[in-house]
Amino acid sequence: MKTPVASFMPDRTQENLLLFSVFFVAAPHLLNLGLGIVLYFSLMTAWRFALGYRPTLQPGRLLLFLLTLAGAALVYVDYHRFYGREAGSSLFLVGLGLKLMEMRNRRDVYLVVYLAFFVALTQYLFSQSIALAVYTLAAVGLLISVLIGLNAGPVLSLKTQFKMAASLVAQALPIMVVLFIFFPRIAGPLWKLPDEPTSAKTGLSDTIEPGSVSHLALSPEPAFRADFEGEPPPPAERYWRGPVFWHSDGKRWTLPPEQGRNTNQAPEFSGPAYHYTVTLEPHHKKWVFALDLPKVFPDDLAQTPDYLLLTPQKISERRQYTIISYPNYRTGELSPAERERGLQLPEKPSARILRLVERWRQSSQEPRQIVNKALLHFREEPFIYTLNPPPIHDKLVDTFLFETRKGFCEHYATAFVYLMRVAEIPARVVTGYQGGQWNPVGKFLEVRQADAHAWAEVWLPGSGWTRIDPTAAVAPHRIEQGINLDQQMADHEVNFAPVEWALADAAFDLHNWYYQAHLVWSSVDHAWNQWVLSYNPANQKRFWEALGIIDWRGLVTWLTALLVLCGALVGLWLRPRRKPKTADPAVTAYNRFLKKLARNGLVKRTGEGPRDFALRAASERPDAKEAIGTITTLFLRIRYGRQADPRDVDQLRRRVKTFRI
Amino acid sequence: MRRSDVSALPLRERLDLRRFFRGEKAADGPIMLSHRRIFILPSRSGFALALLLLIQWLTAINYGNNLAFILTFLLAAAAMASMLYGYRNLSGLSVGVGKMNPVFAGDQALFELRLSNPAALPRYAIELKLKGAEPVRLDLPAEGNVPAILRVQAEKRGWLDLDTVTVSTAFPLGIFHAWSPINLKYRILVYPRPAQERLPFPRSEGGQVDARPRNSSDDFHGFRAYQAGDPFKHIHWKSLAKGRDPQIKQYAGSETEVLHLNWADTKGMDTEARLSRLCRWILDAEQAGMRYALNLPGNTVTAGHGASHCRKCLEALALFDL
Repeated sequence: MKTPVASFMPDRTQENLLLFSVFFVAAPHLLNLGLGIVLYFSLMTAWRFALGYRPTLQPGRLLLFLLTLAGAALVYVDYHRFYGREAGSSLFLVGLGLKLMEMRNRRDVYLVVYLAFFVALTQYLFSQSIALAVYTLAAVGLLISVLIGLNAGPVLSLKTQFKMAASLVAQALPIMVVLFIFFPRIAGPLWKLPDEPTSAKTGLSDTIEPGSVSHLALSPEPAFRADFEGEPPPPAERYWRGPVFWHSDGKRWTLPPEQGRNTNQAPEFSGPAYHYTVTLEPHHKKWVFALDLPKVFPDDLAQTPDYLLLTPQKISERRQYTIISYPNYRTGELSPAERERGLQLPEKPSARILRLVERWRQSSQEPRQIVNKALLHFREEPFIYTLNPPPIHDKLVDTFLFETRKGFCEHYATAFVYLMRVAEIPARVVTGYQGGQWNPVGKFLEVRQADAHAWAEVWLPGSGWTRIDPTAAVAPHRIEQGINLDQQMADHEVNFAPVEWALADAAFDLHNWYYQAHLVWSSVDHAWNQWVLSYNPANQKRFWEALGIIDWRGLVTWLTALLVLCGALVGLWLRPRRKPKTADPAVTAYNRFLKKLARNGLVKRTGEGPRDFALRAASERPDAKEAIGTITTLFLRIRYGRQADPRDVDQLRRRVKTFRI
Repeated sequence: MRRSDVSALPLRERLDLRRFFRGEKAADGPIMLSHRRIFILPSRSGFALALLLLIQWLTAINYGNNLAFILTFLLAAAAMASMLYGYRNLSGLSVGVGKMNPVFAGDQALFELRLSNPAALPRYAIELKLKGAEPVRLDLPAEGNVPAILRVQAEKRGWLDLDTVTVSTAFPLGIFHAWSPINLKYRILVYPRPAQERLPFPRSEGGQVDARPRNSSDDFHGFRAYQAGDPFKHIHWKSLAKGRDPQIKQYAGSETEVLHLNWADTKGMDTEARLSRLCRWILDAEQAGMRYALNLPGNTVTAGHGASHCRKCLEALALFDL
């Protein structure tokens, strides 16, 4: 029972459990960090595991030093620095591996476990998905079981150890929720975050270069989700405004380096309004996508003269904005500078283009008619909407309009704006998202990266900037239905990744089921984003106000009361429970015997011993004298005899059972 | 099992901080560990965990990362819950005293504590600490009793009182240290250290007494009841065979041959050395099966023989002049 107190090291089983747990915790980093780092860590874990069986493999000091250098070098080679998200996480993983190699005493075990906790945290800088949250919950449970094993020693079975760790984590959950909601939040960042290379897949970029893209990657990742107060707009009105392009060099459209605040007079809004909350996925740009055109938006957002909403900082985490937009608007006059920019042409248009535009101009009285003729041209001529257009290397617009005639939204928007400018109608390209899928389960609109779109705006006297979508002329279904990714995946038109491809393949017959599951999952994900990941200092403040918490005293009261409540619940769960006393079989049998006698009017008086009662009973019922005597003797022998004989109990039971009077 | 009454502690004593380490007034035991006696503070690993949580919290703030907040708060919550586990691991245990086994000075005194766990819940990694003793670590099964022996070097003759025993546990996570200092009324008698040198017995007034046992069987005197330590030879086997209680045949001769050990026989040494000398003689005489008497200033043990007589003599030596 007793073990020496001196520094208590885990035995083989416990050490292997520790190694497994640490490896389990670190495993998701395989997706985030360089292969070299992950291999290095795996090697260290394997080495430590081997050490348990072959102690001679213990590396010497020099080798440990070299291993440390090698680890640092690996990090530097991969990231060229030692700070920042990737490099920092790698450094911690390397440190964890090295610490495993020189884990000698109890303190080292704690250091390893604590380092592993921190490595688990670094994974959240890469992903905050539900799956990872559940995974780390299991990992935390494992690490806690390691600590329990370390402290309890070998008397505790692995099963009890796991059970105890699981209940500890379960009891911690409500306390965690209270802390999560009530523990005061501070708005970050506390120190400047180094610029992270964007790894987010975004459907929008700073430039448009239709000719160079021969295959538009469609990503099913959500770009943002919008919760509407009331009905969502019809599909044809779902234009989410992004960056606006004025300048083209003939091949590509580029954004000006810096855009000022909107100094133009505000548009005149009319008609119905849409009130909604956009939950933006981090895209590492400052753009906030709003329905055309936003009128009311949060104070921390700025609006460019092109009506695009901008945040002060790049959006590197999920954000929420509440916006009110009006689909009916009328913008004001055009300044001479804007007019000039809106008519900019990269080179002299080709003869074919000039001829085409001249024909439209001659047959029209006003610009709107030219616009309609251009749209009619796209509709009636054999233009094809495709996601896999042939590449165009020279004279982009001319080649597209008269030769290839295959393209997607960027081709049509570019060509249309070009034609309008030739016709001396100020025009510009607007990018953003179009459409979105209504999720009937979660009641929100989900807009994916694949919904990225480009359209045109022309300035018309009287109505100002007017949205014209030439793609709609060619492929109206693109606008009406959006890009049906599920359908296209099933038709093998879109190829994301082999795994998803296979999934889509398997789902072909179960298309409907797949679609339903997707809807449910998507709304769970949205709820997770909205309720868990978007909880920030501002939300917390609003929540406190709703509870009537106005100062720190109120907060301390709430926090203390809830923590005490949770503590009391845990205490109630943990209270020592006595085992129900298992009745003595001899007493049970004897009581049954008493009951049989009582039915015949022979009741044992309180205070009357079994022997006295037996004598009295025997004198009253001499016929059962022998049986009463035997049973009483047996009972007394079992209860008060020197040595219990288990056969006596059996015999007593049998005698009581056959006892008749 | 007596349950110590919680409300019985006066407020002044209750607020006394020394109670944290010195415990309360000694009791006869068994002492039950209740919330009044159990204290909990973070251990060194606990402070290290606090540091880790602080770093995690700052990282979470900096990246505005809510899952990082969740992990940090979950660990903090698990730490808080583990405090209750630590408390539960001690709560309800009772510590009682075992047998008192006298020892000679210079030997190890064995304090036998009896830990009992009335609850249907095993207790893990309980540590008992006593100043001057090697700590003892043990586990208690549900509804089980486990003896714990704390060994203390007995330096001085006389009563050796059990110092404050600290019952503690770091279970389950090792980040909190729950402890309970308990003071039990438990003391062990320490006999004087027997002198190393084996000197011949002193001459008594009755003449030279040699170290050979006298078992003259000539003058049969009568019977008396058997006492532990009586020579087997003198047992009256016949009456024992008839089922009576064992009787001892008494002889007139043995009554007269008594070794008198007197304080005066050890003149010329300091008190402790004299006691050691007498102690040696008593042990030798007992081993030799002689009858002996002890005369100390102010305390006299009349002639006798056997384990209890020997114990009585040694006790007189142990407590001489204290």
